Amino acid sequence: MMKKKMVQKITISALLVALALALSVAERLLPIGALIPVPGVKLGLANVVTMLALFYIGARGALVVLVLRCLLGGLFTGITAMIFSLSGGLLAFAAMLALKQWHARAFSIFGISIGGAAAHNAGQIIAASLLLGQNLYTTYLPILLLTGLATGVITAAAAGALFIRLEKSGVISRYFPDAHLMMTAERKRA
Amino acid sequence: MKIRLGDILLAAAALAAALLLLFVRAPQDAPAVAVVLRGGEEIARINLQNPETEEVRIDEPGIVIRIEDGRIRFEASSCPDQTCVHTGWLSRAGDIAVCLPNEVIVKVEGGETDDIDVVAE
Amino acid sequence: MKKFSLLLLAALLAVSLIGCAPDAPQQYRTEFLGTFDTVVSVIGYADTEEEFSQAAGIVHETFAGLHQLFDIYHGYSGVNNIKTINDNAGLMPVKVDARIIELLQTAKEWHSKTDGAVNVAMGPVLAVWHEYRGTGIASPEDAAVPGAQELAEAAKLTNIGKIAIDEAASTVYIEAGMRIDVGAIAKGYATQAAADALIAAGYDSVLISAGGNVAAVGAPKDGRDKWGVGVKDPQSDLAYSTDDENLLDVAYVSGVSVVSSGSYERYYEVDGVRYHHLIDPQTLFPAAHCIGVTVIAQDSTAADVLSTAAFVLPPEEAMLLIENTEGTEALWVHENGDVTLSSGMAAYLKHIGGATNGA
Repeated sequence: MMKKKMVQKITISALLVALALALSVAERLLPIGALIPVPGVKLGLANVVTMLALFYIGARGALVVLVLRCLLGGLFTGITAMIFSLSGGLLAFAAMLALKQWHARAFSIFGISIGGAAAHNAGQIIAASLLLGQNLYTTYLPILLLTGLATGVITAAAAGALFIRLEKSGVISRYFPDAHLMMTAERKRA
Repeated sequence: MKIRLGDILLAAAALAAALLLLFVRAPQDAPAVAVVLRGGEEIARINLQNPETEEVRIDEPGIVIRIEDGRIRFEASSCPDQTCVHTGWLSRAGDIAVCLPNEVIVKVEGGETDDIDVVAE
Repeated sequence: MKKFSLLLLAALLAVSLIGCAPDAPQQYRTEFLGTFDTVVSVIGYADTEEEFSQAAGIVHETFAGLHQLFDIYHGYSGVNNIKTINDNAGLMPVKVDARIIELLQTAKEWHSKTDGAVNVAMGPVLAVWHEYRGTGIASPEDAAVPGAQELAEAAKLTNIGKIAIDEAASTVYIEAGMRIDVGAIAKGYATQAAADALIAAGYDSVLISAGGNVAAVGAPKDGRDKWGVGVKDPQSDLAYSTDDENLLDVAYVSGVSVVSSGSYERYYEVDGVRYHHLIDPQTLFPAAHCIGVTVIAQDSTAADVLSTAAFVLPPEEAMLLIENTEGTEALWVHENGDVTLSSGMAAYLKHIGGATNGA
């Protein structure tokens, strides 16, 4: 018989994967490719889920959610897109994991989001360059860094509102016992 | 939401890196050759100064590449993103446009005929 | 955890800066006119445009300086050049720059090495042809061929031994009626001087072409290990083409010189017959053994001289000369289109010999 905690974890993870997939599909409705003609440039809404997972269920859980999201997403989009998704996602994960260490002291979720977005774009261009055997960095890296900056800020602003609600409402403290709060001050646990 | 020092530094660093890369790109002479690759294999090599053709069609998938006035671009593509088409005209050595889903690359290389530098006479 | 994160961030930063890695050295090209009656091209690989400009500057300086000294048609105030020597033939020794002394001494050495095929004292004969050629080009209706008598008279004054060089005093004296013409050696000599200057300055990836007289300093830096030097097809009508289709072949070289001579350069026509400028010292008429020669040699002076020698000498003697000169190869194109190669020439050639440039 599985412990209640385990069931809770699995359920929440599954929800997050579904959420991330839904967001990936949703953001494709926005023609951001017309504004910024760079292969693989996206709003990166799924990164919000990674950030959420990272803070509320921890690094290991977040990694699992990320990889599952990419693999399942690959079923919809094809192998090449999945590879780019994975490389971008993993690099973003690593960046956000690292930046999280200084959360509240040096960075707010803005900084973490920017770092994640920039790393995500860098990861995609690295994968594209390796796959195609071409040097795409000089052409695309500058614009990708800038779009990472922009999308990082935008998604943080939008997600922030969500996180505040979640934390203030007590949902997090109830269902996510090991969570690091993003928006509200940590309360000492007894 | 409080914006912290680290956020600003990170944003500034990203900005600086982007601008640096943009301006550090070495200026080039007017190059002459555009190369079209499909699946990693070269399918066309066009002299931009004296183009042998004005158009490269890859019928399956549907891609049309146009050459005009010493420049080259993806004119039409069957891919959903249209990123390649939106990249616009390529003219300088190092310029590159990619249609990822179809694995087609158009890039501009500097110089004349690739392996002949000069003629002895 | 913090330490690990720091490490991770550093790694990420490094990875994302991949795009910042400086590109491989770029190929730069430039040309200049105004020396040796031709366009000199300088092609090279450098990390910055500045570095290349400096190299081009060295080449330009070398050519400009030697141009004045070796000029046989113009005088320059304050400079005693070869024209000065010619103008004072039979009058007095002329004090000249050490570089002229060196050129003339090198020319004398080559005269004996080529059995007289290349003779800078051929001036009087070449002057006759120069005059007739000028008339033939300016007013083709009046085009004429010099008479044998006229040429024989001029040939009497072509003894290279009579060019008196006093090294200590740095003077040169020639007898009345004599004339020095360094056309067969000057461009190669200047090109080699420029190459030497570049090597001394530390450059290792430059290609110089003085109107087709090519010298390679080192090798390219774009992944290839040899420069591609087109070998012109003497029968082609095109004045210049880097299109593989219009060339005879492509020579892949590094660190050597390539020079061609052919009946397609500098000619005029009389009654539909072409008279070019490479005069056979035996017949005193344009040499007719072949229509084009391309020589590869270690030294640009050698390449220039030998391309003339290999063109005006009869085929067997020409082949012997090339085979006996170390580090030298040649290719001859005959009137019927046949191509003859010296023993090691094929190894340089892309089509005939399957040579590659390491790309």
